[in-house]
Order: sequence, then C-alpha cells, then structure tokens
Amino acid sequence: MSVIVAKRTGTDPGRTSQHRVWSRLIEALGSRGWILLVLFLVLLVAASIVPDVFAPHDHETQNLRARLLAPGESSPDGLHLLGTDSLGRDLFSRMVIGTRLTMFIAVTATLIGAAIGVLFGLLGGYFGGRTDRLLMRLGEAQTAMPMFLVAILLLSLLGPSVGILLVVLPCLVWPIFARVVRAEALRLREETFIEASVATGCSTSTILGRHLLPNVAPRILVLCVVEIGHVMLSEAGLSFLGVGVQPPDTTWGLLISEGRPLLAVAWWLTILPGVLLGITVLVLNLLGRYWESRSGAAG
Amino acid sequence: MNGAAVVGTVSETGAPSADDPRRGVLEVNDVVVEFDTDGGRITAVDGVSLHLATGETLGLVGESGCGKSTLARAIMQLVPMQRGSVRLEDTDLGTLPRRELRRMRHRIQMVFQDPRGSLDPRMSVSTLIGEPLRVHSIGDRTSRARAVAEAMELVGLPTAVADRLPSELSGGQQQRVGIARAIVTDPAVLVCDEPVSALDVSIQAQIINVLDELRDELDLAMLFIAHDLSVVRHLSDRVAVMYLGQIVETGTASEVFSEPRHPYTQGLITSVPRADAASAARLQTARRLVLGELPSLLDPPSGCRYRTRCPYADDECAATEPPPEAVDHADGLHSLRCHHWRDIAARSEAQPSSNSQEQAQ
Repeated sequence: MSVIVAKRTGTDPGRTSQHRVWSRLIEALGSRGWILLVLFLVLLVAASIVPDVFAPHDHETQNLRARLLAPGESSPDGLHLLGTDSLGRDLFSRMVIGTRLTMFIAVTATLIGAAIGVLFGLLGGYFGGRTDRLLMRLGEAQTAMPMFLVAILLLSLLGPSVGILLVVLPCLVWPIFARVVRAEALRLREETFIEASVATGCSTSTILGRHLLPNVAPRILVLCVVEIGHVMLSEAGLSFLGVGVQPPDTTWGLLISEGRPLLAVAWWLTILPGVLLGITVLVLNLLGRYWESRSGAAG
Repeated sequence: MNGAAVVGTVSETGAPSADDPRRGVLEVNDVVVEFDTDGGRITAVDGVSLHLATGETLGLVGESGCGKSTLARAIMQLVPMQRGSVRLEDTDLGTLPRRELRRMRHRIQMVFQDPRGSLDPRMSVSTLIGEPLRVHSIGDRTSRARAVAEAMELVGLPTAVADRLPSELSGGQQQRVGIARAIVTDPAVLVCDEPVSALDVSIQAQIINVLDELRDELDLAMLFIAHDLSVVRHLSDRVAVMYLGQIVETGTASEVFSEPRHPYTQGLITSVPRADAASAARLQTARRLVLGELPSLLDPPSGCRYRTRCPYADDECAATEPPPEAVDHADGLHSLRCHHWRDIAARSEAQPSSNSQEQAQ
C-alpha cells in the first residue's frame, strides 16, 4: 500500500510555469479556502434559480431620471449598489438576472461537448488504429479551424439564438475532452483489469461503460468545472460581438457589450459585469484544479 | 528402458485421439504466437500442444520470458494465434466469431499474476465477483447475490469485505477476489498465470490451498503456470517444462520431478534450494546445468534451443532441432525434446549422484 501511495504523491515532472502559478494559488487557498469557492458557486446557482430573492430592483424597470447613476448612488426607488445603465435600470439586478442564462448556456454547452468528447475519446483510446486516427484528426481539424470565426459566421447566417449557441459552443470544447479521455483510455487499456474483463467475457460496451468510464470520471468532472468557465468566456465573447444572446434576454457578456459604448462615461457598466465574469471563471478554474490536485494526492 | 522409446513427431503431450476416453476438456494443438517488437518479429510460443482433462492439473514451468504467460493468453484468446487451435469442450475457440467466443468465456476463466492490477479499482468486491455472472446473464439478481456470497465463502473471503474496494484489501485478499471472479461462473477450465508469485511468501501457501480445494470441489481442469517448482509440484498431476516458446519435457509430476530427462528440467529441479548440506553440495554441481542467460527470442539458437546453455550440447544439437520424442513409461505419457537424453540418463545412472536419488527422498 505504502508503495502505491508514494508513487502517487510523486510530483509530476514537466510542469509549466502556468501550472506553478495555479498550484501557488491553490496553496494560498489553504485547506478551507475551497469552501469559499463552493459558497460563491452556490450563490450563483441560487441567483439563477430564484433571482428575485437577490435582485433589489426589477431588472426591466426603466427610470430615465436615474440614468447612469454611479455605484452607490440612490434614486427615488432606493439604493443602486452597482449603479444604473443608460435607461436607468439597476445594474446589480440585471447582473443577477443575467446569471441564469449565463450559467444555463455554459453548463449545457459544456455537458454536450463533454458527452461528445468523452464518447470519441473512449472509442479512439480503446480501439486505437483507424478509429482513433479518424476521431483525433477530426478533433485537430476542429481545433485548427478558427472556431470563433466559424461561430460568428454561423450565427450571423442563421441568426443568433440560444439554440445555435448550444450547437456552436460544444464544438469549441469537445476536442479538449476527447484528448484527455483518450489519453486516459490509452493508459487504462493496458491495465490488467481491462484484459481481465475481456477474459471474463465483458462486451466492448461493458468495458467502455462500466470499466473505462468510471475510471476516467473524476478527471471528466474536474475538466467540466474548468471548461464551464471557458465556455462562459466564449459565450460572453460572442454576445459581446453581437452574435450571441440577444436582448431582451441578458447574460453577463451581453451586459459588457451594452456598456462598451459608454465606457468613458459609465465605466461600471462594462467593468463590473466583467469583474463578475472574471471572478467566476477564476473560481471554477481554481476549484477544478484544487480537486484535481487533491484527488491526485489522496487517490 | 531405452527400447520403450518411440521416436517420431508426436505431439508433446501425446494428445489422445478423438475416440480416446481420456480426451480432455481443453485441447491445445500446435499453437504459434508471434509478436512484432522494435527489434523484429519474435515467436513467443512456438508450436505448443497440450491437453487437460476434467479434474486434472497441468503445471507449466519455465523461466520468465519463456512464453508461459503468452501461451496462457493465447489459450484465453487474449492474443491472436498465428497457427494452431485451442479446443474447449470440442469448440474451436480460435475460429469462433467474437460474439460466440464471448459467450463461451464463462467456461474458461483466468486468474492473473497481479492481483491488484487485475481488479477494476472502482468496483466493489461484490460487484467484481458478480460481474462474470452479470455479463453472461446467468441467473437473476437474487441468485447472483447468492452465488457471489458462495464464491466468497469458497475462497475464504469474509462477508465484511463485500462492499470494499480492491485497494482496501490485502494482496492475498485481492487474489482471493480474483479467484472468486474466475470460479463464480462454474468454468470447466481455470488458467492460473503465476497466481502467487506477486504475493508475500506467507500468503502464497494459503492461496495455493484455496486453489487446491477449489479444484477438487468444482472438478476443475487447471492449467497452473509458475516459475516456482515446489508450488507446481504440490498442485500438479502433470508437468510441462517450457523453454524459449517450446515445451521441452512433459510427463506426470512424479515422473518429471523424480526422473527429469531433459538437461534443462534437470537444471531447473536441482536449482531449487535445499536446506540440507548434502543437497547444497549437489547444488554446486547442479549450477553447471543452467548456464548463463536466456537467449533472445529475436535470435533463437539454431537446432536445439537449449544448446547454448546445455553442458551436453554437441554439433548435432546445433545442426538439427530435436523433435518431440515420446517416452513410453509405466506411469503415463512422457515426452521430451533432446537428442542425447538416453546418453544423459545412462551417464547419471553410472554416477548415481544426480537428481533421481534426491527427489526420491
């Protein structure tokens, strides 16, 4: 037993400087810090389920007398914690309302991408040979293409909609899942327990679904958490360019986009949703990497 | 005694013909397994034939790298065979379509060398043991649970470990799980690939005893692979000695151990360490018998494969490969591949210091 534990705690050679930054951040979190991260995510999820509890104002009510109020200023309606936009709508409330769609798109698109990537990765890694080459070339072709431009093209041709976002965004993430899962499947397929499963009489689908998948599941979960953040950024990018989510729906990316023309006069409209987006992505990344490092150490 | 020898290219084990009542549940015929390696193509198993009857145990011994494990995997159809056939209860496994082969697998099961590695780390003990039943759709949920509990009892696993993960068990317990998995479908043949060599010496005997009891209780035909002769001796009815992909000598266990004829077998048997001084002295002379390293399979010696290490080798050994030669012996079939076994036997009779005496004990 001790031998195995020792083998697992051994540090990975070839860590990049980027990895070091992350591990230092994770160290700074300490053993309790991740609770704060989870708490933050719980708040976000709660805000997307019951936004009215968190929003101090109605997010659609316009008040032209209270236009472009800076954070902390009050209107007759009350305090505007994060200020108001050019139509006098409360920014904080709009950010709370935007959480739902932001989270929904990011989570759903990541899950769709993960499902495709995991399936392709398992098949490619386990079968190897031609199947593997085909699937991996597909992923590489996908990665080589400027997917963002393709997305813009698609969305401007077909007209932007949440549905199309849920087609385009998974395309951005599935190759990442496929690569990670394939590498794991390649490693696992050489393990004796896979050979033992074949000898026992397991079918290929049993081996893929009941042996390989559960053994890569922890890595998939960690990757999901990290990728939700990345998808969130991509969605914000598309919305910022005007080919993503359209008003009256709103997401953080769209809020940033709407604030951009007023950046000189009302910085908060762009910066504050941007900060929220940045923090969320950072929290997701930290949490994913924290779990990864912990599962790596403790098995 | 030499007059009884029959010269010819009979199968090593003298596999009985189709109408012979001794016909086995497992018939392995002239199996050849080749691999491509970085250095070129190697023949890991080179024309091996053997047979196993119900309730019988065949011990397969040889150094690491001689092809024992590859042979086991070929029998299990886990590696492709270039030639030859594996017949299980009169079904040729090599020609079966994948699906049919998969359905046959519950009749032939395997115990692996590495107990920890051969168990899925994410499955509980009871799931692992129940898996063969589930994938072969044997019984319903309740009967499977009962079969799992029975199997656990048979191999000596406490019921408390049913929900544990393999990593929470000791090496011995892990191997017991491996054995339970292998016997839960009530197979006809059990292939054990060095089932105890990864275990602590104190645990080895327990696992051997478990296998010994199971074989009698379940009437298993068992192929037991090991490099430890004392283990094989305890379990086996017959023994086959493998060297560089070929079976060089085979016969009943008592015969091979008491009267080894092939120089390699003699070397192997005398290299088993003994506690008494007399045999320690003999060990000095025995060292002569297994010289140097196993030759590379990439460039096997011409003629007899053992000649590079054999003290009796001469020009004939380098020139022609000795065919398997059947020796008709009173207590069963005995065959070997050696040009000079008669001379060697005569020589050891002349100076009776060799193994026959020691092994008679």
